[in-house]
Amino acid sequence: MLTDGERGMIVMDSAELIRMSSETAEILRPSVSGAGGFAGPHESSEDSLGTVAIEFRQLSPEELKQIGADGVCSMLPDTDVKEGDVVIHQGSRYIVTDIKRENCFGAVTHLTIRLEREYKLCVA
Amino acid sequence: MAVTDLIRSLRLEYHDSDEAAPLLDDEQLERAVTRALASVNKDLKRSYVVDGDGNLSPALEDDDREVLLLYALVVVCRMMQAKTARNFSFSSGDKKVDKTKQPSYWAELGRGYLTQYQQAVSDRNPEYGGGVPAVTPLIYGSD
Repeated sequence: MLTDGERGMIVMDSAELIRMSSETAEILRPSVSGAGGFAGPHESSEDSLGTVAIEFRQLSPEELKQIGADGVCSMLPDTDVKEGDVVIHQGSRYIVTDIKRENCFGAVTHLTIRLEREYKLCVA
Repeated sequence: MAVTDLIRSLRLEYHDSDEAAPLLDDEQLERAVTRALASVNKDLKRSYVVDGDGNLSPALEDDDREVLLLYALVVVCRMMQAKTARNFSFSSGDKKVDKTKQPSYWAELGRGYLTQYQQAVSDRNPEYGGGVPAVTPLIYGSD
């Protein structure tokens, strides 16, 4: 059976694979205001949560169509990202539609994130 | 020559240059040098010792230094083989890592260094028997 050190090694190796892609993306979180008000809650702005390491999976359009996403990427397990957040990658906006915590022998190695492209003016 | 200088040369030889995360620590490499010293003393009929300040005495000859480093590399490879012996492969989602072949690669490297060491010692000491103890034939029935 695996020791805690070996589980830690699995997490470190997976993180290294993601960092080796040398890609980063900015995460924006829509801030909701107006809850309880007459007009109801609405997204007034977006707060930047910073830049994080990301690894975009190279998939063909057919594969993406089969998955039902515009992009799939990996992020480090401790990345603060939620469904509905916006990922800015190479000037393109993506909405996070699904987050899966990949688990290996009890260790969360990374997050697999499905993205939907958002065609909105992106200010770099 | 100081043992620390030999340790520095060793790290250069087996590409252990990441100071933040070294493959082996100084204590292990000191052990490798000590074991190499014992082998060199035995195989080349020398009498090197490490004094209290961590220096080799008498002064290490250049040729002997290279031979000593070769045997230290053999020990380093055995240490790395032991360190990587529990390596395993895993896959998680789209990620797959397999380091299970590392121990055999280190073993192969160690065998190569050992062959070089034996060759180097044979060139310098014709009496060297390749590490095999000398066999004295014993014929029964004769006086």
